[in-house]
Amino acid sequence: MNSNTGIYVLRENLIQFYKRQEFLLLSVFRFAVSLAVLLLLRGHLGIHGPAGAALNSTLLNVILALVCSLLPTGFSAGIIGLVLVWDLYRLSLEATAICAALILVCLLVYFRFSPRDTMILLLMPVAYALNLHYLVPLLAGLMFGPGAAVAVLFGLLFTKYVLLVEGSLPVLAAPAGGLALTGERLIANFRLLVDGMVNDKSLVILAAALAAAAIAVCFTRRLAIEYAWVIAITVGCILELIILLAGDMRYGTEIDLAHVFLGIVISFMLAQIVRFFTFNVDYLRIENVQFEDEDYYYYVKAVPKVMVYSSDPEDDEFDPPSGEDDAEDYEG
Amino acid sequence: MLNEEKIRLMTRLTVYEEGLGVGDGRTAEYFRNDYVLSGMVGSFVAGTLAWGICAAIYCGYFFEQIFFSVYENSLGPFLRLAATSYVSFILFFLLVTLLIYYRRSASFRRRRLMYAQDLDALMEICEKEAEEA
Repeated sequence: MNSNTGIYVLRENLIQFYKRQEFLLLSVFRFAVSLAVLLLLRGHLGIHGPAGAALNSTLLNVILALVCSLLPTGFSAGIIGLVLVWDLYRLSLEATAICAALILVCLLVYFRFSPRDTMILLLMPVAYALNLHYLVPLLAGLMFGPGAAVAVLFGLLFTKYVLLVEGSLPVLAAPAGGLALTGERLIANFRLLVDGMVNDKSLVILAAALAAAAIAVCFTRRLAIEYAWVIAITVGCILELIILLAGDMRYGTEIDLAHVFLGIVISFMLAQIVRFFTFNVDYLRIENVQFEDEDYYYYVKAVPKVMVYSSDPEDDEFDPPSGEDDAEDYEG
Repeated sequence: MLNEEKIRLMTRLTVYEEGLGVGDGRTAEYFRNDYVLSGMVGSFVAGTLAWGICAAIYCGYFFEQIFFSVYENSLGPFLRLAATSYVSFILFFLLVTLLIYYRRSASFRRRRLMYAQDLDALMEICEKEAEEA
């Protein structure tokens, strides 16, 4: 048995395992992501708050993550959003107001159209902590539509905002020495935070790179060419690198090129691994249905079929799954 | 004796009815133009709220300039900026909503057509079975 056959056998076994344990595995995944985000919030904001605060308790965070794992992703994001707002409220009123405004704009403008993309929002801070934020737009482009670029941007925005608030805490929490009036101090802190976001050129360049990558990956993988997904991931990574380098040369953001390059290379490899395992799995979920006719009761488990891409135009094989569109098509 | 084709059809129909069919059932209550219009009304409200929030942040940032403009009775430039930004944003947002809802409507029609075809096929099988019985 050669190694190639072994890999495909392993993939098939893993896919079968996933199909059997889909609910459990997805719950574990949602739990892990929720817990990671909550612990990151505690690590960046919670520890600066009053000592002994309830949300700093690991047990409470684990319980919240367990609740999030059982709820739909939108509700999980809502719970984590409330935790974020509460953590900020204990530190700075101005930061809370801006964060609440961002959350509302995010909900009103984007997530009313595409609530499924909230997982991207939760993945971004976790990926950023691991220097793998270049992976998120690649996965978003592979698994969702071009609108997922907006979710990537919002995820990056919230991540950077938390880091900005943490970095500005010495000023935000300083006693009102030079500024006698509370109102003046309020506006000064407000401006500090808004300037920190708007004037951060590295944030703008990174946002442009990630958004462009997500859109490029999404459109490239839908092309009717062989190895479309591999090419899409490659294009996405190259685009990220080019935009980051160009932005650094233009605006002098002084990014750590080695860090960026390493992050993109690892993201490329991880994206290829994800593609290897998910390309042949239809995104229609396993369905357990029951119905009856005059003679029988039927308890049926409908398992998505493996789809095979063929480069022969005369071949009647299926097109490669293209994520959102094919998942929505009722083809049975 | 199990009719596999019938089971296949019934499974597909049930998967659709319990999944996408729930949302499609609500969409089917509207004519296409009414469905798109309802989405645009919702987007108008949501867009106006979102713009209002951004405008509040802008006003908070430029609070002193706005305050002095009110004092000097020269709010014209700010009002013009507000009106221009609101109209541009709302028009863009409504255009995006229009495209999204038209696309959803097209997908919905395609699914309902396939659902109707499967129902017809199932009915044929049931009638055939009834005749044979």
